[in-house]
Amino acid sequence: MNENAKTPDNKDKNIDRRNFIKIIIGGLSGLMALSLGWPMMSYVFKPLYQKKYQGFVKVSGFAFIPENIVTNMGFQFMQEDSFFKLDQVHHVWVIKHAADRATVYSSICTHLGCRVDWQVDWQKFVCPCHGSVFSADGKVVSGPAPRPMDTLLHKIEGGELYVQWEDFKSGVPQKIEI
Amino acid sequence: MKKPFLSKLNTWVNERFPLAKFLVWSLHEEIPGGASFSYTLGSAALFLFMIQVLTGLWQLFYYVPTVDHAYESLTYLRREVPFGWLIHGLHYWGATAFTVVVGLHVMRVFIWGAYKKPREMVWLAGVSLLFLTAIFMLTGPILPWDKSGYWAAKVGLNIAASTPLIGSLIQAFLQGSAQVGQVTLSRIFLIHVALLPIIMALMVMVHLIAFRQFGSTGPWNEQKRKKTGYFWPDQIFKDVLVAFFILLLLIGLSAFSPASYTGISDPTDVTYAPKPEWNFLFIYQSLKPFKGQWERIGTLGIPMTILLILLSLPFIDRDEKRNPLQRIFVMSCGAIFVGFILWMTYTGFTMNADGVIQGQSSFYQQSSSQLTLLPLDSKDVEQRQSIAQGRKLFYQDCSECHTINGKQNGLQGPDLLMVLSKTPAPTRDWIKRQLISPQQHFAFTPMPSFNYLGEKDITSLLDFLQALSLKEPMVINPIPKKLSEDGHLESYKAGKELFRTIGCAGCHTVTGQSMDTLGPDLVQALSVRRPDRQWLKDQMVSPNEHFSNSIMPSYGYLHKDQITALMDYLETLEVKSYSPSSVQKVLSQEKQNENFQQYNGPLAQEDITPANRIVGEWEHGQVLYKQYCMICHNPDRKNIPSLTPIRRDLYRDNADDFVQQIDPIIQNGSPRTGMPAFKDPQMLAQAQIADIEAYILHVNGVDRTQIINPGIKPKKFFYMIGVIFIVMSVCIGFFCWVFSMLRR
Repeated sequence: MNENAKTPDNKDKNIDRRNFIKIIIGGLSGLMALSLGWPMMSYVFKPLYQKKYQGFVKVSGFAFIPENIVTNMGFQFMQEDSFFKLDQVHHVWVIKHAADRATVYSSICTHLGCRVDWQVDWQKFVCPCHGSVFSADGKVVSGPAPRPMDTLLHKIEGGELYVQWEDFKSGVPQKIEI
Repeated sequence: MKKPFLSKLNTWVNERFPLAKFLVWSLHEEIPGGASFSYTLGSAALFLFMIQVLTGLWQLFYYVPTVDHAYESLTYLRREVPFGWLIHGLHYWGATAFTVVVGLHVMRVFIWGAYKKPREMVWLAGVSLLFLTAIFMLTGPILPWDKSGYWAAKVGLNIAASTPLIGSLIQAFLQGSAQVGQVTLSRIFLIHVALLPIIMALMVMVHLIAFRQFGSTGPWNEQKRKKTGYFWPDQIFKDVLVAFFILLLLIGLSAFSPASYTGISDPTDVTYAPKPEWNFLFIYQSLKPFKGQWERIGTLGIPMTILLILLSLPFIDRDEKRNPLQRIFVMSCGAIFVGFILWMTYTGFTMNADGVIQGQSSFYQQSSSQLTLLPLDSKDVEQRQSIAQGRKLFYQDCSECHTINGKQNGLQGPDLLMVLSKTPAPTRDWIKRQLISPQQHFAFTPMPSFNYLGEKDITSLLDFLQALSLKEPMVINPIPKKLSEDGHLESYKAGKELFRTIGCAGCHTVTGQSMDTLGPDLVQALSVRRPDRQWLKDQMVSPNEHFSNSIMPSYGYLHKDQITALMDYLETLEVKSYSPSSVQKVLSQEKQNENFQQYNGPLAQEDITPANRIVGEWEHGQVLYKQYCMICHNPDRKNIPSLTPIRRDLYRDNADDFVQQIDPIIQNGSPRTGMPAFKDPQMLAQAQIADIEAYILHVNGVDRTQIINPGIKPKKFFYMIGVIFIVMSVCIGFFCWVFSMLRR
C-alpha cells in the first residue's frame, strides 16, 4: 500500500480511486468485448440467412416421356454456394398428365433429407434411410415422414418443362422454404 | 441467511480447483516504482496475440487453403461476409502492430537491463517468441495465394533451400511436392494455423511463469524503487487502456487503410515484381552486398546471427549495472543494431522500380569516358551462334525483369534497348561488370549477380545485347537460300514454320475457305488482291499503312530473311478460282476493317468465367492494359470506343455488376469489330483479365474491392466505437463524481 495511505481519510480516497479504476477496467473490457464480440457473432451467424433467388431451369426431354408414369428427370443447375459456383445435377420425379400438365416432386424426403426412390413393382416412393413410404400422389403411406412429398414450382412453355429448384425444411409438418 | 449464488459458486469451484490461489499468484504483485505505461508493452503484445488467435480462428470459418479457391474464399470473406473486412483487417494490421509492439518490448527490456540475472529465462523465452513471430510473418502472407503470397512462398523456399547441409531437407519438408503448389500451401497453412500457435502459446506460458517468479524489474534508480504499486488494478488499468487504444487503432486502420488485393497468382506472368513484406525489408536490403554463393550470408547468416546474439546476450553482458548511462558500450551496440535495421527498412521502402535509390547519380556517369559498343559483323557464323545462345540466355535469366522492345515497362529492370540507345552507350566492359556485380554500379539495385555464368555465356549475352543495339534481331536458324526441287525457294519451309509459330496462324487460315477468324483467309485474300512482294512486306512491317484500322500487329522485328521466307511461303499457296461470293466476303472484311463499326453490346454467351469472380489488382491491370488494350483502345483510334470513360450502358455502380457487363466482351471479343477473344490461353490468363477488369473499373471510378455486405460500414463502425467510448468515459466520470459527493 502507498505510504500516504496511512490516515483513514487517505485510505478512503485510495479505496475510492481503486474502485474507480476497477469500474473503468470493467467498462473498457466490456466495450472491447462488445466491439469484437458483436462483429464476430454476426460474421458467423448472419450469412446463413442470405439466399439468392434461383430462377426456372429447363429440364430437357419432357416431350418424350410417357404420360402418367413416374419418371426420374435430372437437370443441370448452377448452384451458387458462397465463393463456389458449382454445376450440380438435381433429380426430380415428374408425372406427366398431359402435354401441358405435370406434377413435379422434389426427390428429397421430407423426414431427414435422404433421396426417395420410386419402386416400380410396388408403385410407391420409398426412402432408403428410415423407410418413409409415399404414394404416387405424394401422400405419406407409412414411416416417419411428417408431410407429403414436396412439389416444386414449374411451368411448361413450348412443350418444355421448367422447374424452380428449392430446398424445404425437413422434419416439420409444414412446407417451409429454406 | 442464504449465501448469494456467486459466492456459493466461488466456494464450490475453489474447493475443487485452486482458482483463487491462481488469481492471487497472477495478479497480486508489487511493482517496484509503481505502475507505468512503459510496462504495458508486454501485455499489449499478449493482447495482440489473443487478437491474432481470435481473428485467425474466425477467418477459418470461410477461408480454404487450396490453390484454386484460397484467394476467392478470402475475397468472399472480406467483401460478402458481414464484418469480414473487420476480422481480416484486424488480423492483417494486428500482425503489423504485433511486430512493432514486440520490437519496442525487446528494446524496452534491453534499455532497462531486464534480461540480467535472475531473469535470463524470461529473456530466452522472449527471444524464442520473437523467432516464432518471424516465422508467423513469413508463413501468413503466403496463405491468400495471391501474387504476393505465391512469390513469398517461392522466394522463401529458395532461401530455406540455401541453408548449408540441411537446405534440401527443409525445402522437401516445406514444399512437399515437385513444385511450389497445393501441397506447399497445405503445409504452410498447417504450420501457420496449428503448429506455430501451439508452440507460441506454450512459450508465452513459459515467458509469463518465468516473469511472475521474479516480477517486474522496476526502475534502475534506487530512489524511485522505494515507491511501490500493484499489478492489480493499477498496472492492469494502464494495460487495458493501452489495449483499448490499440484495438481502436486497428479498427481505424482496417476501415481507412485496408490491405490491398494483389490479384490471383499467375506463375507465368513476368510483369509482376515481388517485394517482401515491410518487416523483412531489412533482410532483403542487407543481403544485397552478398553475391552468388555468399548471398546466403544475407538470407540466413544475418537472421541467424541476430538470433544468436540475442540468445547469448544475458550471458555475454553479465554486468549487474542496469542504468543505461553506466552501460554506454552495450547501449551504443544496441543503438547501432536498431539503426541498421531501421535504415535498411527505409532504403527498402524508397527503392524505385529500376532498383535505383531516388536521387542517386545518373545512370552512366562511370562509363562515359569508356569505349562504346563495337559494331558487330553478323555475317560471322560463330558470332551468330553466340548471339542465338545469348538470346536464349536472355529469355532464361533476364526477361523476368527486363524487356527489349524499346518501351517503358512496369518491371523491376529498365528496358534494355532504351538503356543501350542512351548516349553514351554502355560499353561491353560496363555491361559485363553490371552482370557480374551490379552493386558496383548501383549500390542498392535488386539485380542479382550473374557471376555463375561462364565466360562464354557472358560473351554470348554481350553479343546478343550488341546485336540488339544495332536493331538487327538475330536469326536463330539461318535460312538456306537455294532452290528446291519444285522450283520454290527452299526457304518457304522455314516460312511455313514461321507462319505457324510467330502468330500468323492465330488470325489467318490458308485453307481457301471462309473461316470465322480475325484476319482473312490468306488463300482467298491473295487470289482476290494478288499483291506483289513489296505489298506483302509492307503489310507485315506496317499493316496500318494499308488498312488504317487493322489490329494486325507489326512484324517489323523479324529479320529480313524471315520476312523473305514468309513471302516465299505465301507464294507457294495455291491460288484457286473462287466464286464471286467468297471474293465479296474478303473484300467486305477488308472494308469492315476500314469502317470500324460501333460495338453493339456483349455477345450472347452466359458462360461463367473465373475472371469475373476474381478481384483483380488494378495497378497490375494498368500494366497489362497498356500492353494489350491500348493498341486499339486509345484516343488516336476514333472509331474504337474509349474505355475512359466507358460507354454509359456498360457502366454500373456495383463492382460485380460492372464486371459482369465487361467480362463477356473481353473474354469473347467480337468478330464484328475484330476484337480478339482474350480468353484464349494464347492471349491472357484469367487472372490477368481480372486485373485488367479491375483497372477498367478503377478508371471509371468504381472500386473493384467494394465491400458488398459490410455488416456496418467500416468508417461508420470506427466512429461508432469512438463515440461509445467517449460517452462511456463521460458517464463513468460523472457517476463516480456523484458517488464521491454523496459519500461526503
